[in-house]
Amino acid sequence: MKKGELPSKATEVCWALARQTLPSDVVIVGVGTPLAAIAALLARDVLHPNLTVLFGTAIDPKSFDLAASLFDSSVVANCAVGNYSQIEVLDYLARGGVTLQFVSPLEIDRQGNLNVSRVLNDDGTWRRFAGSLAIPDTAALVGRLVAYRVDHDRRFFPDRVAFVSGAAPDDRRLGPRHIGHGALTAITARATVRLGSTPAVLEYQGEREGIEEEFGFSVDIGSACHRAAIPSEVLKALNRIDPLNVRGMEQRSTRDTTIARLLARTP
Amino acid sequence: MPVRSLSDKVATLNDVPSLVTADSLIGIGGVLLRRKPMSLLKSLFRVERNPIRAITFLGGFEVEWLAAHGRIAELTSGYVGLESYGGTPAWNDSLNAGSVVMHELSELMFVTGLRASASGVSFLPSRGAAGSDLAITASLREIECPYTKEKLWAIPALRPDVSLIHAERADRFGNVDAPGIRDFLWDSDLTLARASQMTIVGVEHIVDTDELTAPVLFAHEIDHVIEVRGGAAPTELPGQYLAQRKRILQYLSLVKDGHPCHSAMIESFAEMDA
Repeated sequence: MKKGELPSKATEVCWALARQTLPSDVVIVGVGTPLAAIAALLARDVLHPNLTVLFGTAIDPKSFDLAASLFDSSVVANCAVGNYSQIEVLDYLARGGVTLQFVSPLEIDRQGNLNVSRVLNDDGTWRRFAGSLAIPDTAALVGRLVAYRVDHDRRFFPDRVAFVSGAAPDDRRLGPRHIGHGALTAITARATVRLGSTPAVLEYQGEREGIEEEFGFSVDIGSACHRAAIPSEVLKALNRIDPLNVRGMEQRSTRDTTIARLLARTP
Repeated sequence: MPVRSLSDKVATLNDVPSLVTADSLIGIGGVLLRRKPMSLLKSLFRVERNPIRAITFLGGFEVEWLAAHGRIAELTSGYVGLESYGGTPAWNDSLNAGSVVMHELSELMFVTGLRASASGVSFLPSRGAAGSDLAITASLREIECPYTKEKLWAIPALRPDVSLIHAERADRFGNVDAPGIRDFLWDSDLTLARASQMTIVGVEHIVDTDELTAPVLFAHEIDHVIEVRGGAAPTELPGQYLAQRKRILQYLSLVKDGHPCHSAMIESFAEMDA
């Protein structure tokens, strides 16, 4: 980032996610969400040095070349303390060991239900998406989930999701009990919103006027507060952790150029 | 004294079509853009074959390739996509047009199903996917723990008829070496193989048993071994070669520009259809 330049939306979301961590968290991030990984590494770097970061199955990787890790899966494996097997990591999840996960769903509703599977077309048919990965499991088993999307969109926040991939704890209709608290926070570049209560409460970025119209459910703007500016030491840490701005892959306006730039480095 | 004489399991790609019967439920190894058994999959279609039924933990390029050629009818999986690079247009179009069926499972549902099969039981209990609509679409049944009274899902066994996996090295008897790099989900093929009735493993190199460093699948668990260099390409074999991401993006770019997926796939990956 150049001097005087405002932080990008992806940078804002990264820092907002990092601030959701607690000192003793065990945070897990997926391999397809680089921004979530950067946020976890940032939190460990500037907030909570004892944070445990599970990058997929890699345990507590040291700082590494994030861009290279997108192309070469040995990069993370080689700088981790160790690597869980598939069964070990899922068992660890199942017994409630993971306390925090950053997830990027299609939709999240006012109760905290997550949809990553499908949305309804106007004609009543389903439009299917990539699939749920472990979100149905982590919504029930991880201590707390934080949902995020860089670009704020009202469609991200419906009153009720079209399909419950991962259930909110208060919306359990069948099956085993939740042992985690589910997704009670959602973050975009525009706002951080606490869910699970009516109305939801928020911290906003930019103009406050009209922000309640940007959600599909009622939000309490009476107690809303403005998001604080990102401290300079955090921006410095981000430059260290993510010098090639890999996080830009998750921002609509910079996605294609970021991918093109990263590919230019590929062997 | 009797002489130990293990069966030689070496086969060739030409044998694959006859080893995988027409109605088989096929387990596809690898995850996302890693360790996908592309050469074995390609060899299935050396003969006329109906679109296949398959399962894979996390689908990637292989599902897109199958869908672009109309070679898949049904898939059980937790995800199909190209990681950070985007969706799988041929697969998504087929799915939304109703020409393929996807049985979407969560990761815990999928792996618990494989573990049930590998354990020889009809189901295993799980807390995964509590409250999820996926439990409804998968018709999961709830059970009560006889000891604690806790409600749990009974996840049914997931048992492929035959699984196709790709690894670095094996001996001719079917002892498969651990990968040089134990990266993300490197071991998922072990669970898949042990859950399957039959397993065919493609390897970069068939070596003498003495050259294996740390076998993770063993002769009595593997049915056929096929040597095929670059057998996971264009996906990654960690530590051996990278995924061909530029070509995958070229394919996506052609589709974005309006080319039909089928012709874009042939243009981008001509060798896959040679």
